[in-house]
Amino acid sequence: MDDYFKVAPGFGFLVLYLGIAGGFHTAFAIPGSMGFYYSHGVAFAANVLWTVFTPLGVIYFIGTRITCLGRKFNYITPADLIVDYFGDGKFRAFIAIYVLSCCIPLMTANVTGPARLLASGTDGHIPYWAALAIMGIMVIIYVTSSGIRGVTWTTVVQAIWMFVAVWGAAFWCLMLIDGDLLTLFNTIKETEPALLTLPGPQGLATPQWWTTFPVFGIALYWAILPRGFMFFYSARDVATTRKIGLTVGFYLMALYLPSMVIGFTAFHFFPDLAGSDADNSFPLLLATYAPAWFAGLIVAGGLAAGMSSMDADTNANSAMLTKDVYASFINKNASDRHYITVGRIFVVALVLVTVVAAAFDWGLIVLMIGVTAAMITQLLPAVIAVTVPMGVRFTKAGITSGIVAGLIVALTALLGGRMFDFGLFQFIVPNVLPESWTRFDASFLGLAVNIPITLIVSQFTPEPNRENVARIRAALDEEFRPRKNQRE
Amino acid sequence: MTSEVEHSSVKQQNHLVPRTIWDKLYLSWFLVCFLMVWFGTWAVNKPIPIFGMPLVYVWCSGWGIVWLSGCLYFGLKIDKDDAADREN
Repeated sequence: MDDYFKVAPGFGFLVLYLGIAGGFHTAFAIPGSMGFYYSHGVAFAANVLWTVFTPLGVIYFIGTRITCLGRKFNYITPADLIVDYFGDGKFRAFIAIYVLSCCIPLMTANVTGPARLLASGTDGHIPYWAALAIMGIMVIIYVTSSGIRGVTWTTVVQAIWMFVAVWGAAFWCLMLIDGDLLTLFNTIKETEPALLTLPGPQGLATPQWWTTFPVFGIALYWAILPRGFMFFYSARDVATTRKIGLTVGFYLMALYLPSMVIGFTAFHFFPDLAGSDADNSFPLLLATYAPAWFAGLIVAGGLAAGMSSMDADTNANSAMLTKDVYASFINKNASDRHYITVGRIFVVALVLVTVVAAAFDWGLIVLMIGVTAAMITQLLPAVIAVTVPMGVRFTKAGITSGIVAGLIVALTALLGGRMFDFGLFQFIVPNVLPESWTRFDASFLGLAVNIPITLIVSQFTPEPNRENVARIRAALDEEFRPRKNQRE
Repeated sequence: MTSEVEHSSVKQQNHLVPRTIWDKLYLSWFLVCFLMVWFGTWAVNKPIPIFGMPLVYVWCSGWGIVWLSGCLYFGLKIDKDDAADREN
């Protein structure tokens, strides 16, 4: 398992840099970001708050510590790190199932965007269901055959390709409007000036949204997704992760810069699209105006964005099902070879679930990503408790209570007032939070409840095993506080 | 196991507190640039073109580049100091 779900010798800087750069991007990059500019204008400039905050804050500070502990104690899954500190047993199952249930909505949402791009970009010659099937089969082939190695190497190519595709598309858009950036600006100013300022034409980017969504809804959860853990565990050493934290933001930010030109150009040509049609504005632009060969290149970039995260998520989730559920509770003493075979079966099962779920028109893509973000963000206190010694008491009961309370509040904020129609029955989720609260991002509201409850419950419940805590802290001190250790 | 038990008696270090001057500069630079994007954007929320691009977009992207460049510089200094300490 050690060299299938993660890379035992570790990847060096360049491969892991591009692996993380590509693996972090989803269908939100292509065509989502262009659709966002189309609908909400410069509000998408908020992306700087996650494309820079995540590498310089979360990867540099937390990711390096995950690499340190993962390499030292040979962790494979996110639950390995958390239960090594807080204690194993049912808590492992709780963390693993919780994380898995977070990721299925995200995987479904991620595969939907690129499949739509392929269907629209080929003018329907490849139907939506066939696009889903093509992506699913490709991911199954290379993830089952080579695990994290296949994921990372394909993601390297995908990262390069999506970057070329986005920038190429932006220059093509400028040629299409037969002008420069100022021409585009003036065109938008004449037709829909609200796109050029906050909160945007639909009023999305309020101060409450701006100050909570980019940071709590994306930056703080992005890097602690299971795929993030697998990349950090697969770094050759702490220095590699540290260098990636310092530099990968240049790639992440630069990938989104051309989206404005593409989104505004799409608005210029098709100003009346709404809802999911707005998300399809870029594929529509390609299908209408681009030569077939060029549209093909760009669509490949979009597929790269979706598949680069789908494969990484599939590998990480398969690792959790195998190590945290199957090997911990169902078959504890099997050979490594057996576990890898089981892992491959889980890969196939996960891809099938994702593709089948994406085949239905849920109309809830944004909501599904929001659910994942809100759920994963609630793990942040647990990850920080393990990786950042700070003299604050954290216990298993405290962490569990915080996660549950935070999750209830976050999901209530996300789903409150929504009606779900399942054909035979319908139900409306009660809206119990004050309306003024729900203007803030759900992940933020969840954390605002999670953290105090974690701290309060931790004061009155048994501490984790002292030897485990000391062992983990010694490893962190040795790596991150070496001089002070020597003085002591 | 002995070293683990021995270590548990050592006073726990707070990893939230920056150690060196470069750590402090990294953190300060991070916070200033973050606040410039987080709150500062609202002060430049006007439909004005800068090099043909909306002011909000240029402000956020510009601070993003400044943020990245500064933290890269300080981060490399931290690495250099750490490497020198380990050699000593």
